[in-house]
Amino acid sequence: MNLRLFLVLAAALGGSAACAAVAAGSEPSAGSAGNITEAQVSAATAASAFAALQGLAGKPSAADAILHDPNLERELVDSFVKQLGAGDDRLSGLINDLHLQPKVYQVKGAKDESVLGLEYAYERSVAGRVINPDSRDPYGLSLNFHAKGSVTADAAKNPNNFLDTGITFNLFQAVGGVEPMIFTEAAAAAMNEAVIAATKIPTTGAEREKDPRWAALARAWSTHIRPQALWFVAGSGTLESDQKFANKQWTYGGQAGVSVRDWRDSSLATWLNLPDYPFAVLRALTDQTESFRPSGHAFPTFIGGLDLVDPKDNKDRLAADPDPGAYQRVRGEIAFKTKAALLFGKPVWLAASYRVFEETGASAAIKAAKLDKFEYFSAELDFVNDFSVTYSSGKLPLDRKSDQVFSLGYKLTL
Amino acid sequence: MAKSTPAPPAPSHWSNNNLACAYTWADLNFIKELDTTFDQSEKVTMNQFRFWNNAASPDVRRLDAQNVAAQLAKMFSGVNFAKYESGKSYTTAVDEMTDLLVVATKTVADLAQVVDDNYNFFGEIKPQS
Repeated sequence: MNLRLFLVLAAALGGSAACAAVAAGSEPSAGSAGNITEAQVSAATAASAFAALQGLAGKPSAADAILHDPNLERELVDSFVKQLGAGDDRLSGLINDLHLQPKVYQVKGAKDESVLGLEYAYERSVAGRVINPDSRDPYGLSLNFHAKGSVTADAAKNPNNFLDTGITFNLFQAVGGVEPMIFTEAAAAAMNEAVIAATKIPTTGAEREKDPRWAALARAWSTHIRPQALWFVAGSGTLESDQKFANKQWTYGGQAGVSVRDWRDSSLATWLNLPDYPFAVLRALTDQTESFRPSGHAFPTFIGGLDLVDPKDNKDRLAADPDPGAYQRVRGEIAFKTKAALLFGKPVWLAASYRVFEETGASAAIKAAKLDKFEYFSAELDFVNDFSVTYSSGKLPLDRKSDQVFSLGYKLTL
Repeated sequence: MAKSTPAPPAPSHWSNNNLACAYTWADLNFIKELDTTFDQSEKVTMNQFRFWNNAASPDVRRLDAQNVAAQLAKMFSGVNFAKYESGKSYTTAVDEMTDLLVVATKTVADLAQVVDDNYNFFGEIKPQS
């Protein structure tokens, strides 16, 4: 750990036990487990992250310092993760599979200027099987484990106070996409030579498209490709909780979703992507190499589900309505990402998502407490150099209040 | 638990002599998930891919990643003439690629390793383990 990071930790944490362990290189409790399950590691990692961050509660100056020095924030999380996994290859491997992203949240109207947080997501397929392997569009069956959520230094200020841990059983199929070519040894050998030759092209983008080595490959593959739709249906069992596990509920249910892509630059199908039309205009205006054309890579993705929720450990809900019986909930999400414009010669990406959770047949007491419907919107502008600005509004299940939040972030490389 | 000395980093397998690396790079660029030269691609991370949506829930991100993985799987076996390694299948390939695609910090070289583990490309000679 470098001196600067140590000084910031010392100033910000004032001897917090969890972070002292990180600073001194001592072993955290999660690392001493004899037989570590994925669930334990995910929970331990989240809990340790929370414990480390909790030392920053009420220290907006520390968060501000990190906000103004993204490198410092990266170093802090990097050090934390490396120390957590030190000495145990299995734990290191599992931590390396975590998607971790530090964030500094700025809650609109809040007195404190900012709060430091950490998003985590861990997903792993446990088992899989193909139903019809000889089909062009085979079905796949898989069993997945997941743990995801966000923790902040001060749990009361967590704008996305929703942790989700569970298992899912999936049936999926990708319809369309590239169609198989006829195999001959000569064709395969020629393809290998062509690909190796293409790896030596020193250019990218439009310049590479003109290179005959790339053009030959692209022409061969493009004649065999159609739009691709990947759909899935799944059954799941999950534990939803807030950051402190003060409120939690088990959910059992099913979900389905579809993701559509047309990998070609131009086709009739891309003109069906109506949500991308405004951005196609912006791209055409800001990028002289682009003509007006919606993108086949930017079709919205949909997921919907129906859950049975057991609220007997959800204190906030029971305070509003003492009925501990399970209730039905529908949920859905639509998400979208596209290249929005060209700025200073670099692409600016817009990503957005809207999520909704709604109880069917909610009681008058639940409606009066506004616990029957939760909506959450998030949008991010992703600029060059991994810098991003995010706006989110609304609340997720188990959030106590609706927030409007701006956050600054960058992508973390461990 | 006794602390062990950290193992030195494994030597990079990223080379255009490795067909898994070459095809992984070519296919990702063909479907426009990347726009990089072969040499630039080794350390490009998953959150720099076109499909990666930071605003979306992990469920949606996984679905979009699975779509990319399924397309790669179809390209490897359909137009790159690869066969599955012993014990591997379409589902293991899609699942293992998806598991990696949803981790922001994993690299294209890591993805190529998963491809190498799942596929045997025509004319490929693999070291004896």
